[in-house]
Amino acid sequence: MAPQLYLITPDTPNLEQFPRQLMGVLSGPDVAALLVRRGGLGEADYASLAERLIQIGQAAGAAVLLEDDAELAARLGADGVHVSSGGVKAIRAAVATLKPDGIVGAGNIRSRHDAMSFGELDVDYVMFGTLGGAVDPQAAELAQWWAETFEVPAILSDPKAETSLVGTTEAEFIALSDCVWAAPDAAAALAGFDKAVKASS
Amino acid sequence: MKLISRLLIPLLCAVSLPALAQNNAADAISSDVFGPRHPVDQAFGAFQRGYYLTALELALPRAEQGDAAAQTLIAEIYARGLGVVQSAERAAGWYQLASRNGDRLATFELGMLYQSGTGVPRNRQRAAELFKTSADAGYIPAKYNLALLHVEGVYVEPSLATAATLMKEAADAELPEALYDYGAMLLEGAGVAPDAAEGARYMKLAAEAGLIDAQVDYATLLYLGQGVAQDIEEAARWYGIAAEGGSVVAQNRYAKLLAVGEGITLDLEEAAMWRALARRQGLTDPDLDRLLISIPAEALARAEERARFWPSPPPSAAPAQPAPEAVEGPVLPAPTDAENAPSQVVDPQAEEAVTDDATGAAENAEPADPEPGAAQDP
Repeated sequence: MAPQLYLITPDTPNLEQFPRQLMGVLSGPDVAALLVRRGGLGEADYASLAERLIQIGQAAGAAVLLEDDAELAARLGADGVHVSSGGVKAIRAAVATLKPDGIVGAGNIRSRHDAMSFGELDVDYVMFGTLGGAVDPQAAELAQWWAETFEVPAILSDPKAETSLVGTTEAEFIALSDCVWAAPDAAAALAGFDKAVKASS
Repeated sequence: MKLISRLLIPLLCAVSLPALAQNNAADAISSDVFGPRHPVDQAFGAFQRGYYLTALELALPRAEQGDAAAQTLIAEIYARGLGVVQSAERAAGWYQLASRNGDRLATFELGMLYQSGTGVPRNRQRAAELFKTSADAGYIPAKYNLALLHVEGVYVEPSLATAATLMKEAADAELPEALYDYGAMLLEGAGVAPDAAEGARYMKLAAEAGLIDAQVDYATLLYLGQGVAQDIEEAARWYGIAAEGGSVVAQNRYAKLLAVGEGITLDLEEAAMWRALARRQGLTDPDLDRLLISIPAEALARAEERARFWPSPPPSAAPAQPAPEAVEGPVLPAPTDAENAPSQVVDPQAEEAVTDDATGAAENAEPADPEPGAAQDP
């Protein structure tokens, strides 16, 4: 089965231009979920960016997830939260806040043991790999192992992903970040992945 | 828990230090006699001693580095819930990792999880592939399971011949179930040329390994003289063993032999007891009832009474417990002795009085006793 696409926003987007760019990128390709990355943004900037991106993402048919702040996600009407810090405790809190309606995903997995501890907590996915920047060399192998063994879906996040990844991973989702935003034409880059997905399914 | 294991490690080191500190001559002799020392698997050592959480802590870093033995160890800890919450999912995860690193036991155990759908979605095709891999690596229980799959012929190619070859390998490694199944294949000529003598030999080995079904079948072979010289007494002995093991068929047949005194001394009461036990499992046999028609009423009553309490003797028949012999030396204080009662009575209402008297109580010379009445009542 071909993986679905999961899009991660850039580290420090231009607050004025990015929403418009995102709108353009999302028109066309099927993106299952959009993660609004916290990156270097302050609390207020993140909240206002999140508010706008939730509308854009949901209008394009994607589930929009915020990073780490389940309260904010609930307040702004996001679809869920991606927990990337705070470990088991933070995941439990997010599950308590958002379930059963919202999505809770677990990220920042440093070991197999972590992955299994998080995977037991009624999460909707576990994400292997970084949200951007350097590629985690273990991520692909861990995602493969997870997808083979566990029922909770795996997301493989590869900031340097190429379209060939679509056909090689068994993970249920692939998360794209720098490989889209650093491309000369972000929309074309994402469309390339979308095409690869549709070709292999 | 972390604290315990931290304490434990220095303790273990302290214990092993004197041995290491011995002069080198002893070490030299030791390595002459026993060969060079192998590095000790500390995690496995802790596991064997029952320090499961220590084992887990020692194995985890190695497992994360891809050490197959450590991964299998952790999988076993989770699969059996040793000191941790049992989790078939986690066990499957670690077995999967160890299996990929070439651990044949892990491959087999993962196959078992897929076979039954425990902790993973049931997938018998995947289970079959894993059994094959593990069997090819020489793991005996995997060969047995793969043999069964070849008999079933759904998830691997149906082939009684392949099944028989694998089953023989597992049987020759003395896996009891394989001894029994291979014995049955030889007797029936399934996948191999029929060979009653060889079949009976395997059946005997399986019976001796404690497999109750094999004990019944071997007793039957002895009784009929199939593949083995007829020996009614030996047949009766094996039926007796299987009857003790709870086999309803054996209980019925053993009762018949007892009722007619064939291969064993005639004993109607004993026969009636086994009949009662077989009935309890739902087997009624008019032939046996006819054999026991002449049993005296009180013998029948005794037999039924014994069956009710089997395998223990009925309480009335139980010999009285011999009185414990007098212990030489000073008599140990009984726990109910007033002298052994805690010197401080915990009484919330008298709490202040206790704290006031605390210094006196610690010395124990003059027990603090704010409320004498409360300490008396046991």
